[in-house]
Amino acid sequence: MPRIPPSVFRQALRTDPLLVPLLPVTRSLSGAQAELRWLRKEVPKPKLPWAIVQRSNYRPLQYILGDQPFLDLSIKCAEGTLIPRWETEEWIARIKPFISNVKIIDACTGTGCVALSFNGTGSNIVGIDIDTSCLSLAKFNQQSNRCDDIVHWAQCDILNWTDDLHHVCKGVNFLVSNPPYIPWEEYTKLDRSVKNFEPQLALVGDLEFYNALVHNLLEPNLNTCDGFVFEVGNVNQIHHVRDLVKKHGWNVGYLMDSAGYHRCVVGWKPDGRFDFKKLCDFVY
Amino acid sequence: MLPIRSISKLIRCFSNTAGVSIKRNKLPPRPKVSEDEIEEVFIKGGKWWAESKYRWKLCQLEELKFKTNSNFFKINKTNSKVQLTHIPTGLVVSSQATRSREQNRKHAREQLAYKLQELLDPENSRAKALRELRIQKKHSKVKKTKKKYKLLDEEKQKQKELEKNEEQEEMIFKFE
Repeated sequence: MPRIPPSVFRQALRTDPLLVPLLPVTRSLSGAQAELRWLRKEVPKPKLPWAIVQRSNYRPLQYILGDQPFLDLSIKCAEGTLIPRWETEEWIARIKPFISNVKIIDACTGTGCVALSFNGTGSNIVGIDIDTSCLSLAKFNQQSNRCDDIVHWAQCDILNWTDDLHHVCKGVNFLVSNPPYIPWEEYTKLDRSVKNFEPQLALVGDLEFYNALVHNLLEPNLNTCDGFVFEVGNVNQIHHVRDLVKKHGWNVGYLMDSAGYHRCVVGWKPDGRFDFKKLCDFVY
Repeated sequence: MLPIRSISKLIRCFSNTAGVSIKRNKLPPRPKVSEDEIEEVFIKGGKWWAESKYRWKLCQLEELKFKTNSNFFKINKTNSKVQLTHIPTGLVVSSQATRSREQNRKHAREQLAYKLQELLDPENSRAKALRELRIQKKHSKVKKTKKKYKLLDEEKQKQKELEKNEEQEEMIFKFE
């Protein structure tokens, strides 16, 4: 990483001394200014020094302020759950118009942002997570954002096939998931603010999650399930899901995000209720 | 022949010094930019990605690239900064106004539209109208304060005169 030139530090000191501790974290003056502006706006004045010290120790801003805007929702974030990312926001905004009046299952919910953003489509939504603290946070978010649709939460481990999981997933029409998809080698190279503060449980994982999603959630419900969208981190994962699903005759494509990375693998039944062909950036 | 005074009155009638007052509800409409002319860049995304019509072709290229070398991962970051480039003119606008990226995108588009309009049509632009509205408001404020203090001063002077008169009357009374 290139070091920040001292002239930038001097400039920061001249404009506002409080910018200086934020500079090594944001690595740019404009970023530091924006973060300080948000901190000043949302943190009460006596707590501001504490917040700046926290931020200079690389704690994510969302944990300090307590929430993150996600589409038109405001999602509460706390330590132990993953902060919702803009990539997720983007693909949900693209997929949402295709969906109405179905049963949706959101595996690995975390804060519940994916499940809650499908509110307003008249759907029956179930959010699944392994962690109970995440689920209580998701429930809180559901109440604070006033959801009209039916939203349920269930504590299941998707990696192991159990009767509970079978019962919860019965009759699902549409599967969404943002599973942990960063392989261990990549995890060690992540940003300090992500590595030190965000839960490893929600980040580290690879093909085993896609195996589980297909074998435990999709294949038992092949009659009712018409489509799925899984967030991915790289092309290998897309190819893996494609190979798993192709034998059932499903169509598979993927979405790119606006930073130029492969972001989602999308699958749909040839004669089902969804047709994602227009949506996908590439169809196999 | 008309007397000079009347001519000056006539001139005053037609001159613009009285000011064409701009009204809040009659501003020029908000400018818009078409999406085809914009290139969007996400600064911290690592590799930039253009939202352009060549997206499809780029995807196919990527597909070829990944067949040969598939060790390509991305890193999830929480950053909301958005930068827009207007391709025909080369104008660049970046926005980091809020913590929500979607809102920043909207904000940047708005900003770009304003700038473009001012560049292409500075006479009838909304930005100019807004600026004039602000100046107008400032002037009216100054006028109001001047009026207020004038009135106050007059009242004070009146009171002083009254007091003086009273004093004089008292003095006269005492002497008597």
